Amino acid sequence: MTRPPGVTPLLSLTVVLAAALTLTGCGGRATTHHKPGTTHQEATGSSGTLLPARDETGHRLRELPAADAPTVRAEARPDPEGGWNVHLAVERFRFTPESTGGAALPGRGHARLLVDGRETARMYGPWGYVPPGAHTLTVRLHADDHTVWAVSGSPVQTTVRLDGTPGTPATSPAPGASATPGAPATPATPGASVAPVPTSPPPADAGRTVTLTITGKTVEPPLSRIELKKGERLTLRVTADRADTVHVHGYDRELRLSPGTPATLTLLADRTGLFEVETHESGLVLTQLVVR
Amino acid sequence: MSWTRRLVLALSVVLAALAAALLTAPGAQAHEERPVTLPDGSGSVPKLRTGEPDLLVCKTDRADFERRVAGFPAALKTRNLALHERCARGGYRHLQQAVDAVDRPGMTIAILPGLYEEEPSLPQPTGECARLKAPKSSLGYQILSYEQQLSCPHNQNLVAILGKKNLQIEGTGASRLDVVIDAKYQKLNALRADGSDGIYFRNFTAQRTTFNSLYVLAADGFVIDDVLTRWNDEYGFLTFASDHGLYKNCESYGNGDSGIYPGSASNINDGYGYDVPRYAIEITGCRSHHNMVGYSGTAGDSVWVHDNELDHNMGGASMDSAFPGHPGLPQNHARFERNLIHDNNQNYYPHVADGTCAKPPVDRGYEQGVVCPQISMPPGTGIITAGGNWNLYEDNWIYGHQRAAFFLSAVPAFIRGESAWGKQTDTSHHNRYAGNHLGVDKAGNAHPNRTEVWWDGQGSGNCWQSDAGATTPGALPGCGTRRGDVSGNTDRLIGEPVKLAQLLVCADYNVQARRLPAGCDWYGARGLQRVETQLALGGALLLALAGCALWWRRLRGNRLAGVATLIGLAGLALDVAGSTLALTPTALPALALLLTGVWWTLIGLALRPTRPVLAWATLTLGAVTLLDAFDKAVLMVPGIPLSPAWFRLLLGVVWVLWAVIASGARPPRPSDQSAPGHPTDQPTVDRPAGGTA
Repeated sequence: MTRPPGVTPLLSLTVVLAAALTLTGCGGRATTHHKPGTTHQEATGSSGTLLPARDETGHRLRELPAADAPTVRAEARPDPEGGWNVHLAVERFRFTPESTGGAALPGRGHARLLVDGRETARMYGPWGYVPPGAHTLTVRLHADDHTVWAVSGSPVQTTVRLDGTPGTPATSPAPGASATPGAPATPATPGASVAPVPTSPPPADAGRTVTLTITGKTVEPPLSRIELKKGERLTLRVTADRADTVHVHGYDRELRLSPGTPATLTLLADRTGLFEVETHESGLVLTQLVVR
Repeated sequence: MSWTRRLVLALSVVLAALAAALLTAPGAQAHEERPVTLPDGSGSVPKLRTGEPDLLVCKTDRADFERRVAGFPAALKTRNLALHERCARGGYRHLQQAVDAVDRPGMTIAILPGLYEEEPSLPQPTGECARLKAPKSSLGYQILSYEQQLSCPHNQNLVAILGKKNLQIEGTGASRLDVVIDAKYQKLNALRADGSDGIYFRNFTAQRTTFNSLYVLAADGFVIDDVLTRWNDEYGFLTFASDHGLYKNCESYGNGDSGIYPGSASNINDGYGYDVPRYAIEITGCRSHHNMVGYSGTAGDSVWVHDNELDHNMGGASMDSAFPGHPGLPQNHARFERNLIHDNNQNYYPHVADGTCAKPPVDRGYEQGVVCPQISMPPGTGIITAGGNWNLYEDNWIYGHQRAAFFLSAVPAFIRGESAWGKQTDTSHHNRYAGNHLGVDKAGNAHPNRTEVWWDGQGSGNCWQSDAGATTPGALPGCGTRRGDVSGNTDRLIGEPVKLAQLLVCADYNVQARRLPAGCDWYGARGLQRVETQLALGGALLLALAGCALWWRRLRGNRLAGVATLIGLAGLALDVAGSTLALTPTALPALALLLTGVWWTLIGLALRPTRPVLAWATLTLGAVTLLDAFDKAVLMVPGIPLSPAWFRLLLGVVWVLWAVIASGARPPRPSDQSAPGHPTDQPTVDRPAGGTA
C-alpha cells in the first residue's frame, strides 16, 4: 500500500518536509489542526424565575425584569372576507417554532391567542388570523417550555377589542378601556394575579423621533449625543444612500437599510449608559445615546 | 534519477505539504480529549432490555404529565401513568440523580415524558473544581483526566455517566421528542458516557450544547437507538475510541461539524484487505441533515454505514486522516452501502462572513437553521475522503449535488503528527467506488450531480465505476466486478498541481477571524476570482507573450510557425476557459492541452534548424503536454510517479525563460536578408528560416 520511494526523492522529501513543517508550524506536539473555531462559550444567563402563579390555562408564569422582558403589541385589521388579520410587533423576542418543548431561553418562544378569554391558536410568526365573531383578542407570549413570560407577576400580553367596525375597530386592554387599533395596549390581568403592569408604554409616550440621513461618509445631522431618560422611548429614522445595517450597541438592536428608503427603529431606553449607534458596512458612527 | 525529476518532486512536495498543512480536511474534528487507548475488543454490542426499569426519573407536575401523555396510544398511556405514580413516590427528579444511584451493572433507568434541564448540574464550578490543573485545548476548554471528570462531573457535562457498566437509559414516551434533555448551551456535553461499557441509550432527545449532545468515550459496547440530537457547536453524536457500537434509527441536525461522528472507531481491520472479520461500529437507519457534514470520521476505522440518509448538509459524509491525536490513523475500512446521500448543497459560510458565528452559541440562532461550519470543506459534495484507505462505497444512491458525488484527496502523514518519511504517502489507496446509483433517486428519477468525481490523482488501487458521468480527471481507473480488481491503475506520489494549489488556497479558512479565502469557490468565488482561473490566466499570458516573442523574433517568416502560434494562442484561451468551474469537468481542458501541445511540437520542429537545443526542449514540452492531454482525457498513464502536469509545469517555466532569452538575444553575426517580403531590420536567424513552410 505504501510505496517504497527511491533514495533521491526521499532526500528531497525530508528536506522539503522539514521546511514545510517549519513554515506551517506543525512540527511540535501532536495537537488538533482545527484552527480556532467558533467560541464554545457556555451560556450563563438566567431564564427568569418560575413563579408559583399560573395563568387561566394552567401554565406557570416565568418572571423577568422589565428591562429584559419581551414586549408585544397587536394590531387587528379586518379581512375583506370576514374575520381579522392580526399582526404582532414584538421586542426582545423571536418566534422559535423549532425549539418548542425545549427549555425556556430569554427572548424566545411563541404567542398564544385567547379569543374572548379562550385559547384558540398559537402564533409562530408575526401574522395570524382570527375568524369572525370574536370580540376581544388577547395575545400572550410564552416561552419554549410553555411557561408564560411575565413582568411583576403579570403575563406579557396585549388585548385588542375586535368590535366589527371595519377600518376603525376599537381596541381595549380589558373590557371597559379602549385604545386605537395597532396601538400598544395595557395587559389584561390574568386570573387572580396582581395589578396590571404596562408591558408597552401607552401611545402618548411614543417618545421622540430622531431623523438621520447618510450620504456617502457623511451623516446629517453631524455626530452628537442624544440624551435620554431611562424608560424613555426613542425612534430612529434613518435614510441611507446604500444598503447597510445600523447597530445600536448595548441594546444590540439592528436595523437594515435599503438605499433611499427610510427605515425606523424604536427602542425603549431601559438601560443606562453611553451607547454608540453605528453602521456595519460603512463603519460610521451615527450618534451616541446617553441614557441616564 | 534525473535532476528534473528530483526538482519536480521537491517542488511538488513543498506545495503538497503546504496545501495539506493548511487543508483542514473536509469533515472533521475539533475534538481534543485526554489520551485514550482503543478498547481491547472483548466486549459486545449490548442488547435492549424490555423488563421493568430499576430507576425512574420524572417531574412531579401531574397535570403537566397528563397533558404530555394524553395523545399516547392507550396501552402506552396507561403504562406511563402507572410509572408516573411509582416515580412520584420513589423516583428521581433529575437524570443525574438516577445515574448516581446506579450501584451495579445491568440497571435500567426510565425517563418519563418531560423536559429535563438538570438544574442541579448547572451552577458554575466552585472550590476545587474551579481550580483544576489541566491542559487547555485550543478551543478553550480544559482537557480533564478521568479522575478529574469523576471528582467534578459537571464542569463540562450536564449528565455524567462515569464507570457505570451495562446501563440502559430509555425514554418512555411515544416518540423521542417526548423526553428532552436540554443543556441550553450551558455545558460542553449534554450526556457523557465515559468508562461505561455496554451503555444503551434509547428514545430521547438531547440538545443545545457548546460541543456535543451525546458523547460516548472509550466504550467497548454501546447502542444509540432512536435518539435525536440537535443544535450543537460541533457534534450531535460523538463516539470516540470505541468498539462494538451500534447507532440505529437516530437523527441529528444543526451541528457545526457533523451529526454523526464515530471518531477513532476501533482499528480492528488494520492490515486486512477488503475482506474483514467484523466492523467496530455499525450505523443504520439514521438521518443526519442540515449540519456541516452529515457523517464524519477522522480515523473512522472499520465503520459499517448502511441504509442511512445523509441529506441537506454542506457535505454528506467525510472521512479523513487530517488530525493528530486520533488513535487508529490513517483512516481505513469504512464501508458505505445502500445509503441515500443527496442534496448536500447547504452553504453556511455566509453565517461566518456576516458575524453571526462570532456571537456566543446561545445567540447564534441554531434553532432557526443557523449552522456555524467549524472547518473548511467543499459544499455540495456527497462523500469526501481526505486521506483514507480500503474504504468501500457501494450501492449507494448519491444525487443532487452541486459540486461532486465523490471527493478523494490524499493527506501526508505529518499533518496527523507522524513525521516518518516512509508514511508520507500512505493515504488515499484502495478506495473503491462501485455500483452506486449516481444522479438518480431511489425511485429512478434523474437528479444529477454536477460532477461525479473530484480526485487529486494521488494514490494507488483507487477505482470508480465506469458509468460515472462528468469527472475530474476525465479518465479514471475503473473498478472490476470483484473487489480489488482495478483497470488502468495508477500509482502517483502527489496530486495534480492545480488541485493542490486550490486546496492550499481553500484551506486558509478561519472561523474566528471570519476569513473566507477569496480565491476559493467553496466560499463562493466564481470566474476570475477563482485561483484556478487566475493561475490559468497568468500562465496563459506568460506563455502567449513568450510564444509570440519567439515567433516574431525568430520565426516570423515561417508560415508553419505562424499557424502553430495561432493554434497555441487558441489552446491557451481554451485553457483559461477550461479552468472555470463549469467547464473543468468537460473535455475542454484536454482539448486546450492538445492544442498547446501541437503548438510546441510544431514550433519545436520549426526551431530545429536554427536552435537545435531549444527546439528539443520545445519538442519535449510539446510531447509532455500531449501526454498530459492523453492522461486527462483518455487514460491516466500508469507507471509514472507524477502526473505529466508536473513535468509540464517545470518544463514550462524553463521554456518561458529560454524563449524570452532566445527572442531577445542578439544573433551571433549579421546574416543575409532572410525570407522574401520580410526585410527585417533585425535578422533573426543564422540560416534563412522558412525552409519547412
